Parts: sequence; C-alpha cells; structure tokens
Amino acid sequence: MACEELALIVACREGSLEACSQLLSQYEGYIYSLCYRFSHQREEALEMAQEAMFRLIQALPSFQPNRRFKPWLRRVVINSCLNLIRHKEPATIPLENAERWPAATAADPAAQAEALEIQHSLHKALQDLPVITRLVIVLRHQEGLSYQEIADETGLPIGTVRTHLHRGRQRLRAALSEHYAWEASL
Amino acid sequence: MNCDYDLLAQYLDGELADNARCQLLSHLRDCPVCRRELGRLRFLWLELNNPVEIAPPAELPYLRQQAVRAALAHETAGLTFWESQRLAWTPVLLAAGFLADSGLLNTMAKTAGYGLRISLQGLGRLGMQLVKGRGK
Repeated sequence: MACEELALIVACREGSLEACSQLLSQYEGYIYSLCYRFSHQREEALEMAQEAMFRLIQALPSFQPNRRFKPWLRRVVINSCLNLIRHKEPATIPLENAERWPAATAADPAAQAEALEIQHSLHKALQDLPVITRLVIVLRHQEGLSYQEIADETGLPIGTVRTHLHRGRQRLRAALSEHYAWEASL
Repeated sequence: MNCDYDLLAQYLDGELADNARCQLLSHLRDCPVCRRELGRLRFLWLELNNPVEIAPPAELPYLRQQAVRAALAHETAGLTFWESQRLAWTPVLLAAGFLADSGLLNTMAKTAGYGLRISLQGLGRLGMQLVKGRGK
C-alpha cells in the first residue's frame, strides 16, 4: 500500500474530515460504478454509493494496514449494497439509459446497429435478473472474482454462487438466442 | 461423459480442476454440439466481460461530503458519557501535569486513560500537591 494512502487512512481514523473526503474521492468513481452495475438505476446507485461511503468511514478502524485496501473497500461496498437490497428488493427496473450507448457510426452503421441491439438485449436481460443473481454475475464478469472469492465477499455458500451464475447466464443466453435464433441451451 | 452446460461454463471461468478439464477437452473433440455451445458461451462471456464505462454523476462529491460528515458525527455521537468526559478532560489534565510537577506526569497520563472518576481522583491529588507546596 502506498505510504500516502496509509497516512490518509491513519488521519481518517483520527477523525479528519479532509482526510476522509480525500480518501473517498480517490475511490468514489469505482464505488459508484460498482453500485450502478448492481442496481442499473442511477438514483438507486447514488443512494447505494452514499450509504457505502458512510459505512466505509465507520468500518475504517477494522481495516488492517498490512492488507490491500481496494479488496477491503469492495467487500464493505458489497455488504452495504446487500444490506440495502435486503431491505428493499426492487422490482424490474425500467430501461432508462439507452442514451449512454454510443450511436451507430458512419463507418459501418449496420454492424454498429446490430452490436447496439445485442447490447440492449443483454442490458435489459441483466436488469430483469434478481438483484443477487445480477450481483454475482457482475462480480464474476466485471470484477473477475473466482467462485470462492464471490462466496467470501457475499457470504453466500459456493453452491449458491454457482446456482446464481447458472440461472443468470441461462437467462442472458436466452436473450442472445432471440437475436441469433439459437435453440434452447443444453 | 455427457454434455453438460455447467462444465462448459466452469471451463470458461477457469474453475475446472486439471482432471475435469482434460475430460472436457476430450469430450469437446468428439462432440460438435458442445463445441457449438462453447462458441456461443464464449460470445456471451465476451459481451459480459466487456467493461462498461460509467461516468460518475456530478452530485457524487456532494454526496461523499454528506456521507463523511454523517459518519464522523455518528462516531462522536456514539461515545459514552464517560468516554466523552475523558476526551474533554484529557488536555486539561495533561497541561496541569506540566505546570505542577513533572513527577505528576505519570499520574496524569494514567488518569487520562481511565474515565472521569479516576481523572477526578488525579485532579484531587494534584490539588493536594499544590496546597502542600504552598504550605511549605
């Protein structure tokens, strides 16, 4: 861990507002993107991110300086999100942010449009997944965690992690199969 | 070996043990259905692994400040009565230790660590020392 970061953490533990703010400012983009990928809804992601930052400052005294900071931070964020999710399981979330995908370019508009359509379908299928399943998929594919690491981070048994991955991917595969006329999976 | 979607997924995730991976690769050589399915899954993996750029919203720094203030305020509010009294008295006791007698520093340091009752005992002892000193 960088000395500067460690010094910041020590200052945070001593209750320095500036240090807490500075430390979080380095990670707030990551925290928000993680929350967004879990919730797929801007307002909910902001609420999750704020709650996660609150929990992070509270949990800092339990951080062991000989460990890496980012995995610890990710675990706190995940736990915080899971707590929020348990209190209010959201229903299917509307597709609200199609505008963030790039528009088809003049270079190969047909191919671009097709790629966008596939992304749209996958995005929609991801949104329709139960939150825990989506969380597990995000941790596997976007964060690159192994099954065991996902189990450790979420507190789910490893068999449950596999089940969520299996069910989630089946539904995502089904979303793609509509585009490519694939038959049902094995 | 039978066709198994889960094994294909675990193979792509790098979660298969060596033995199971060899068996699967052997099966894949003979099974066009699984080879085709593996190709489709690779495509799905490619899409899912594709990093999504998410721009942080403009209000995030403001929310961060709010979260930090709330967390620090919560920490302070979480102190018990004795803890808050000890924190409040510590600088006074330490300063008094310096002023009165360097021999009292040890007492002051100890009193600063144990709650108000002990702090007050130390303060009383300090008063007695001062009174005695003036008496001489």
